[in-house]
Amino acid sequence: MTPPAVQVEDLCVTYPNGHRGAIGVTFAVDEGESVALVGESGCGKTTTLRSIQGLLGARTRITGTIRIADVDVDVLTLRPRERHLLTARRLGYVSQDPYGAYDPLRTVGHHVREPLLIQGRRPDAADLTAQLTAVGIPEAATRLGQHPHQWSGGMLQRATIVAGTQLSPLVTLADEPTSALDADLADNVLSTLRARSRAVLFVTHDLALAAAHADRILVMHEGRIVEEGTAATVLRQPRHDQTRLLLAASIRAPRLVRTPPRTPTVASASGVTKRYRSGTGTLTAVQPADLSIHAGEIVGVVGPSGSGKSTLLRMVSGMEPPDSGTLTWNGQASAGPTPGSVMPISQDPLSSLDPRWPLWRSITEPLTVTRRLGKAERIRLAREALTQVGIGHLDPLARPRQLSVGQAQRVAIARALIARPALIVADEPTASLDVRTAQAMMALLRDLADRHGVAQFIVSHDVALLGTIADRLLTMTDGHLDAAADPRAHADAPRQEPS
Amino acid sequence: MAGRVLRRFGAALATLLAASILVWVMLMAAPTDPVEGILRARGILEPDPYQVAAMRTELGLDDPPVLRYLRWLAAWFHGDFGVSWKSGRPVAEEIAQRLPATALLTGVSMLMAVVASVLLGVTAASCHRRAWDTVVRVITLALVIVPSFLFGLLVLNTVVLRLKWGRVVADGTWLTVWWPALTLACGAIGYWSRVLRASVLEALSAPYLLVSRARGASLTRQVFVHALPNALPPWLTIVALGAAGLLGGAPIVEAVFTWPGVGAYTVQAISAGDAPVVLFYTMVAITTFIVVSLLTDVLVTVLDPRLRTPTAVAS
Repeated sequence: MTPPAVQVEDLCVTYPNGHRGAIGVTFAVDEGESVALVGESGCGKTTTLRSIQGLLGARTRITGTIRIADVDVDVLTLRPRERHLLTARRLGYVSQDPYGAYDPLRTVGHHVREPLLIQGRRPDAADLTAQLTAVGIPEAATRLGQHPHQWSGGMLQRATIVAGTQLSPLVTLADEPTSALDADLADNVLSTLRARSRAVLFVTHDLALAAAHADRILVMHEGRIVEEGTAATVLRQPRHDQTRLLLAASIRAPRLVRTPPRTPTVASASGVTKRYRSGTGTLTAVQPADLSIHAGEIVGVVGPSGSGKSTLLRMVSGMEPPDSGTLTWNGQASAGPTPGSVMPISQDPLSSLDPRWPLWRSITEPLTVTRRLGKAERIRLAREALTQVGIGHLDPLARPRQLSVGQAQRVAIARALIARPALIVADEPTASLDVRTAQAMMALLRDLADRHGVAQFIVSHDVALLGTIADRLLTMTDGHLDAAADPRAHADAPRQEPS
Repeated sequence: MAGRVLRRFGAALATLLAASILVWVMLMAAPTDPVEGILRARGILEPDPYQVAAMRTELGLDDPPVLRYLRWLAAWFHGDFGVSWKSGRPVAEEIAQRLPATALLTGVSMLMAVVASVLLGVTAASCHRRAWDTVVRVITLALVIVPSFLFGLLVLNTVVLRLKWGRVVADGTWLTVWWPALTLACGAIGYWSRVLRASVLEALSAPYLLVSRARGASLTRQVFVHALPNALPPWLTIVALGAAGLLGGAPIVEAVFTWPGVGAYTVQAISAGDAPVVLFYTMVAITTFIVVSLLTDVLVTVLDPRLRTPTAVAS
């Protein structure tokens, strides 16, 4: 029997601050296998991956054994330099954020060639071009000379996979390789990863994605592996509660499509367009679009990145004037909505809160625009607002750094709500949250629409998730807004891969 | 691109103009009457009112300030930089005599500061949280805190007088430039190496270095291929600003080491109210500063491809 490609036994990781990232983790990845490491954020899956690759800080304490097939030593006993030389040739690495993985000053070609250069080999330009063409990069030869900011995220991630598998490693380790990509692209990228690797160990928080691309699934919870089995077994007969929770999060029941209610219109757009000047010419971000949003209604816009949905959102919220067409708020055409009537929720909740301000100050800031309020009154109002978004137990005097990302997003929603807006606009409000937190957030937004009658305009690339709460889903592709086609109506039909 | 260069050029001219007005206003507001000082400098110790009046007319001091400024400006555009009120010789000539010594001093100290701060900053960042890092941090902090004249006097006393390494009276040549240049460079070395250390450390924590590390890249490769180039743009901006600081610090060091440069000469001119000299020196200093920062901008653009190709980001 051949030894497994990578074998991890009783791995324990303790960070300098005393946090235990992994506790007694034991598993193996066999040659030719694809294994998914699944769990919520903070469950230790990235820690496990990084300790195999030797990427944890020098002051982190790691115990246990990690063996790689053709070397008969425990790599944890080696000195860092020897170890890196050894593992670099046998383990490939694909990181999470495609843009972050690239040195912005170097060309994409440099990045793809680097694994060879480090091993002292001469890269063959024609061969690299052929490899990139094979994973679907058009005009690969010229594109290799470009810089990362000139590439799209999906293309970059495919190039990263080519780079990570250059030396045909025993196992390719991938840390959330698709979390920054649209759902369609994610499938494509994972297939590429699988096709180019001898064996794959990838980390994800999405059980459905894991089931589609892995032979075996390992579920992690609080630093331990709590369930292990073939994809089919784990999916069909989950034994651990954590697996059931993850499973529940990946099944989304779409909300029934409704016709616009007979409530007053809070915002409407007719024939609005937007163009941007780019280096060589103009780029039409939004083609003439018509749209109306009624009170108490959630209107979702879905579409691939770069389709113009964020631009449309900024115009509807009055943050950016359209180049042509008219926008009305509360039935009146004007240059902008009345202050406080349209409130935004941003994608990154932590950076949308001032880190130096206590929560009450951030939450009640919208109220201070029109009147003066005492501190005691503001703290009282903040406490009320926090209760409304389900985190009444939080101290209004706390500061943002004490919050989790999910709590921070709830605080941001409380801030948006306190001004009693007619419309809340949210650009990818769940993009930085893990699956379960994201679902809870969407449920909260639905609840606010039903209870307070706040209309919402939400942009997301996650069709399934947005579909669970939106009354209407509009699709946007290349600047065209298609109000008629609700993607939920034909969810089974094959989806087109965006370019 | 051509448009951008033209705009920068226009901005530089506007800066020069604004600076000249500022210097003029300050000279006008100065409480001392330049005439007496000038007459004294020319050997007339107790001038009579007639002599003073004649001198005022000669220098055009009785004309309205705006007219005087415009006349000065027009002369400058014709390449006439005026005559030193004190010595009666053309300003350009007087400065030109002393400028090479100052240029040598600031040039050498600039070079010293850049080389030393790159060495200290990069090595400290590569040894983050180890002994060498701490040593560098302590040394550089001391360099930032100790004022350059104090350091200069210290050097003069111990190194030059006691150990007899070097000469007390500097002659403005390569042989004697080292100690004054080091004195002048001290503050910059401390400040610049701290900035570079922080900047390299930040670059080293970037996710692309994690990728590089996973690929088995050596520390040398991580630092010199990825971290240092990414750390350079912010550091270069600081260096460009600091170059002006070196120019400003020159008079003090020149005074300590009796360096025959333009700094000490200008200090005398300021106390005598010798307007043409002060104006000329200020203009030269500002022009140097503008040229240096312009070059830095170009360099940063060359280093960072994201600044070269403007792309619109939609959605």
